[in-house]
Amino acid sequence: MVSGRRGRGLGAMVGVLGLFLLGLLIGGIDAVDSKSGSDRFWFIGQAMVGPIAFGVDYVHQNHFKAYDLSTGQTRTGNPDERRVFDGTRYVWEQLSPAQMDQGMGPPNVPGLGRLNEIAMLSCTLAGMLNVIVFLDALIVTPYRKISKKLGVESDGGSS
Amino acid sequence: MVLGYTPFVDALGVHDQWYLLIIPMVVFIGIGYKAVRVPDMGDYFKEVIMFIIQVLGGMAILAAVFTFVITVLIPLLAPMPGV
Repeated sequence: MVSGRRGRGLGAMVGVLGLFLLGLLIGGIDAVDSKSGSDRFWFIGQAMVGPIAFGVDYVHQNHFKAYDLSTGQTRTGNPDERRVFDGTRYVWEQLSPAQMDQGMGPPNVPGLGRLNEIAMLSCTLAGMLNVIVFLDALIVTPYRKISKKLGVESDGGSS
Repeated sequence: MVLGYTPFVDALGVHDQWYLLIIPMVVFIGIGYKAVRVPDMGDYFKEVIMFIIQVLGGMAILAAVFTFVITVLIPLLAPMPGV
């Protein structure tokens, strides 16, 4: 968009952000996780989306995860736990059946199985698509050379 | 902390319709990819629609072929007793 190709920039933005938000919609905030198991490898691709991916990851790590006292590691909560502040940090506290009946639980419901995979894939595809957009903006592609030679305006649908 | 669906925070409960999620994914990939690949933006929407039809059509053909192989061809070639 900065280079004056507004139509292309808008399309690329809708594609990249649409895929990223679709991933979040499918798998919840758990789809972006830079510290958990194999999810961190997916985050390498998701990070290519830009600051929004790091922002979502920050919120996920600091506002949705808590420490598991048995391992000393942060993790996503189970359905029978709630996130409580013990004076120094957030930890997971086991809930009783009565508390669960009152609607208490973890702050988010993580995606499981296929849905989690599809959600992470969607966010990662957004990052990979963004790399394609970077490369298109940085490298002169053949169609732009042809368009220049022919004197064709190749953006904004004005041709 | 009330258990209920919050968009973008909780996962969607569409475990039985997971295969339909390819449709919005292909739409967004098409919109983004064709934005940087079409030589002339006048053809943009036509190219995006063609991309979506090609990918979804290809996936539907693959699904039909694999369904045929698994449910018809393999049982014919290697019948299992009791199945």
